[in-house]
Parts: sequence; C-alpha cells; structure tokens
Amino acid sequence: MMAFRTIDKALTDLLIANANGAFHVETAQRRALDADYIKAHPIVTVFYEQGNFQKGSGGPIFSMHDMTFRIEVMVAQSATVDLRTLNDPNATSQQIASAIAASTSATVNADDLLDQTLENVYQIIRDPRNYDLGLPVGTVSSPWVGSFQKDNPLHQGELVVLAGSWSFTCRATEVTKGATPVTLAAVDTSINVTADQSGSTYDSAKQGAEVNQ
Amino acid sequence: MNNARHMVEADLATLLEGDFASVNTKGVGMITLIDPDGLRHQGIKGRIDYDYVSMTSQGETIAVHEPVVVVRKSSLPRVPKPGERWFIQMPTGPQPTDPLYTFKLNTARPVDGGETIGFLKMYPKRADQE
Repeated sequence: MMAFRTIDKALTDLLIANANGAFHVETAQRRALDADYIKAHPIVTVFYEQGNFQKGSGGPIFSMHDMTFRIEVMVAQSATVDLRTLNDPNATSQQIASAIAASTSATVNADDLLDQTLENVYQIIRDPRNYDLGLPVGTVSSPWVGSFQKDNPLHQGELVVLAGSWSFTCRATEVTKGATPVTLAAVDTSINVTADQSGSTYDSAKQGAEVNQ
Repeated sequence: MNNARHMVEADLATLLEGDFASVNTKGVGMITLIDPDGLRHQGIKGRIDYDYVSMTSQGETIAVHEPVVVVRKSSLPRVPKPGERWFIQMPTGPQPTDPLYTFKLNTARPVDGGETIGFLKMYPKRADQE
C-alpha cells in the first residue's frame, strides 16, 4: 500500500481512537447524510486531497511525496429557546418577549459547535504524542496543519448545517513496486577475491580478509 | 369584486384557508404566531407543506422534511421583518390530532420576495429547549 493510503488510514484511526464520543468519523468523502444524524453526532471526514512529487535525480523506486489531507468537520444545529415559557398558556407577553430575546439562532449554535469540534480535532492531530500518527517512527515527516477554512451555513430542512476543514500536510517516501510486483531472482554479490593487482594477497575462504592481518 | 387583485385575494382564501387549510376538528386555524413583543396571534389558517422531494448530488431521490407555511398576508397582524425573532406554533403533521410544536421562523429568508400578490411563505426551523 502506498504511503498516502497508509497515512490516510492512520489519521482516520487516530481520530476514531481519540474522539471520546465528541464526534463520529466517516470514511467516505462528502457522502450524503441526514441533517438529523449530523445534529446527533458532529461528523469528521478525512480524505487525501492532493499530493506533489518533487522531481529529483534519484531513480524511479523511491519518491518524496508531499501530501495534503483534508479533515472536514460538519455539524448541524437547531435554534434554542425556553420552550416552557413559549408553550405556557399562562405566560405573560413580557415573559414570552424575554424568552424570545434570550433565544439563540441555529446559525450561532452551529458556529459554536463547529469551533468546539475543530478544536478537538486540532488538539488530537497536533498532540506531540501523535506526531507519528501511530505509525512506525520515521514513516511520516513534517506533519503540519497548514490552513483552516469555514463554509457558509446552509439551511437544510429544519436545521442549519455548517462545515469547516483543516488542511493537514506531511511528507513520506513512496516506494514503487509496480502494479503487479515481480519477485526478482537473487544475485550473489559476495566478494571472493584471491589476489589483487597491487600485490596484497587475500584469503578467499575468509571472504576478502587480507592474509597476514 | 373591485379588481383582479381583490379576486386573487378571494381565491387565496379558497386555496389556503379552504380544503387545504390546517385546521382542528372544529375548523379553527391551528397556526399561532408569536411576535417579538411576546404577543400571540392565534387561530391563523393556512396551508402547511411538510416535505418535498429532492435529488442529492449522487443522484438519489430523497424526501426532505422542511415545513413551509403559506398564509394570506391579510390574515397576519403584520409581516415579519428580516432579522426579527418570530416563533410559530403549528401541528407537526397534517392530521387534526397531530401535536403542536413551537418552531422559530427563519426571517433571514425573504417571506415573499416581493413577487406575490397576497400570500406569504414562511419557513419554520426547529427550536429546542435551551
């Protein structure tokens, strides 16, 4: 498996392991979800967004891959108000007006929850203990959260849906094995020198050790 | 009838407050508007559509639950202005016995867009207990 797929899975697994019920991690990119489902569980999706291979003088086997992952967060919220007062037939107009004035809009609630979830995600992926994303040391280098963007709120049905995303960049080495890997025949490269041209004598039984050393 | 505008208004009464109106078993309108001053305007008749059919970006046909309330302008105390906080009490389903629920009106969305003669479209949004 190429490194970008390994890291994609590692990022997803890392977020799942540290979510603690604060959000759900979905593996498919931008799949259709019911706004009610998103309201119950803020959704985090990780996907490989783009990559750059720097041209070098090396051979075709190993390539440096600068990769960017999009970590998308989506929340849905409703407005909040003191419904007990609004539904109370004995409430005065002043009491109702106060409850209405104290109500918060779904957009504000969604914005608050999105910021909170984004903070959770950032703290997980930038935690020094998670520098290697759970992979063997050295697999990932230069992990960095490069940018953040927030979308406009969308009115979906009775709810407001809001999305934002982090851009996570890192570097890893890709190894080219071919689409159908070939197992090459072993080549014996052991040195078995019996004599050189400069007058020294080597013992072939000792694999190149100089005689009289 | 004085002119076409009056005729349209009368037709709207038939359309929105007749057979398609949301009324209780006694024929009383089940829509209550609560204005920002805390005043209740009860017994408003109108048509409530609860769902519409849409298509996702993946091409799937889905039913979206998004209530839309259509009432005559003349049945309201005044037209909600953008940015005002209005609430609406209405049944959660089309049956006369369906329970009432309090929603917040989305006044960020134009209620008529200036294109209608005499009716308003209002978009209730869910409100939860704070």
